[in-house]
Amino acid sequence: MPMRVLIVDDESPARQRLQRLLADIEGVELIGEAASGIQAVEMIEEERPDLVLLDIQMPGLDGFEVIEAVADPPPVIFVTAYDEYAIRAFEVNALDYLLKPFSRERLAKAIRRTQEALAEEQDFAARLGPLLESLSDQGQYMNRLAVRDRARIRVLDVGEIDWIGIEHEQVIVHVGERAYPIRRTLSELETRLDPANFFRAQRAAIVNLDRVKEVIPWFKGSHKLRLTTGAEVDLSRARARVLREILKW
Amino acid sequence: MTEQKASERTIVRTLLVEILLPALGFGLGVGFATRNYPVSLITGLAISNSIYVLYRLDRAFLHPWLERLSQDWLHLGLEMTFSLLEHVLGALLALFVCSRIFGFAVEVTAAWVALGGMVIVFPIIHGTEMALRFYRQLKEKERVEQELRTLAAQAELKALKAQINPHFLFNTLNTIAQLIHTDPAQAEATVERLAEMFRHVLAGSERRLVPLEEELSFVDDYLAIEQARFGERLRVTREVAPEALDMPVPSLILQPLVENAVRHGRAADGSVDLTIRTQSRGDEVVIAIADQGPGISDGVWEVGGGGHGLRNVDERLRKTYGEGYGLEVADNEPRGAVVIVRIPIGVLGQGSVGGG
Repeated sequence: MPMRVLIVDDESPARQRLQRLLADIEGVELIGEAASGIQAVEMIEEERPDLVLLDIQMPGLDGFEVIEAVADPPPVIFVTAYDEYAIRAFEVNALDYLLKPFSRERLAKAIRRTQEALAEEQDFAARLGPLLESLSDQGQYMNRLAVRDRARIRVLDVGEIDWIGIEHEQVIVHVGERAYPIRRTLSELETRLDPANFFRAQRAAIVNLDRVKEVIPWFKGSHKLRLTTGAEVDLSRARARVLREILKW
Repeated sequence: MTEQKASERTIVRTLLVEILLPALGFGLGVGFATRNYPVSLITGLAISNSIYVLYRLDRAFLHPWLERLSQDWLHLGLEMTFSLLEHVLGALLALFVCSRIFGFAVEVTAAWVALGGMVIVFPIIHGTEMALRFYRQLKEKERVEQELRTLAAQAELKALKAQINPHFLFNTLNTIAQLIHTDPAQAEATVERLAEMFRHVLAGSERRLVPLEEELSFVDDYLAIEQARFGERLRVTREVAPEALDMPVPSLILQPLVENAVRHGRAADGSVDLTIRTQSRGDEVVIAIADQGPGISDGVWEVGGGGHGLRNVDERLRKTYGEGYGLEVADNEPRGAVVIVRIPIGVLGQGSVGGG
């Protein structure tokens, strides 16, 4: 069965080139092209490709944000012209990446490696984790978060988020009146969101500190946070001590 | 603390070197001749004081005027002449006043001896001091000039690096690699544009000022390449006043602004709508680069923000034309951001355009 490949690049000539070079490689079937990060998220979720050739610099949602937006990311070969940060991160995490303009042979080699890796182990998502973490180590906190708004993908600026909670084992992002379910864990979000703005109030909630209007004492040293939107979020006793340090109340 | 100590030291030195020492020298010298030490010492003190007063007056009123002289040797020469005159005048004045007060006759010989001493001793003291100060100023001037040269070189290097943006270069090479197959004519044109861009950057790093026309054609080359990469999604409108085309402008200032607009001025659908406008307005040429993107509230437009090419351009404009001529960033009508460069006409002559 051929490997089903999706191409993601905002430049048309770059997509055409990949398409042309892929046509010469055996065992590969091109299933589509996305010209933006948002389109990429939609196509990945619909088509479930075996491999994504993913450009990094794109307007709206960049390559890393595409990965973050997809719940169970497929194997990815990153494609970039020049990005010092990312290249270092790749080298550390031994994920394959292509530097534009790459040669036919280099692309073939990357595809072959992916095929071999797919035959042995299926766990590409596990290898993406450390990559995203090492990017966040370099101060690259998440700026945008892609959420599903009915059938569409909506890209939120993280500043728009009021708080993130868990209801019925589902992580929900609250933005004003709206609530978007996302397929990510709170711990993962906690490490990717800038701690200067986002605070883990308890096991099941992260709040945007800009939205905290009141801290209301509750029972046994626990508190409630009232947000500017009127929502109330429980603050655990242990976390209250930490928040006291931050807000100096 | 140290400043206070330094000023105390200056006062002590002034008192000692410029007033007491000469007074003592004069008083002892004349006293030796007249045998009237009290009178001669007081007269000496009066002389050195009157010279010192004249010297301070000179520093306060004549010196600022001297400072403005562009030729260093003329400056030094005039300062020495003034100093000599002050000494002769001060000495004669004090001697005359003291002779009236103490009732001694100013013997011609004694006066000449005193005056001779003055004329020789004082200029030596002051002259040495002046020469030392002059030397220090010269050194300082050299240091500042050297610093400015280093800064300019750094700016050029930065600009050079910013132009040969590796990301842009490699993406363009990738585009060409594809166009060779699908549109050889376009591939050829892109290679030519890229070559033109590199030539302009290399030439620009040697020339401070280039005609606006050259900067604009550099921007055209850049935009043509971006258009080959992004196609229909990049639209550019040019409104260029022909009378401003010969105007000398610092090299490599416009393209970083246009690149910034291409990168950050995208509308929600990913398209870029640029307007490049140049016009003469009074004694300035105004260049505006406007986009239809998210506007300045987006944050990336802050001139001080690093990494967006704006800061270097802003710095160079302010260093070339003065603090009032930095980049201006504003909201564009009806949406987007606009970056404005103002260049004063006639501040830097046409003669400085061109030439290696």
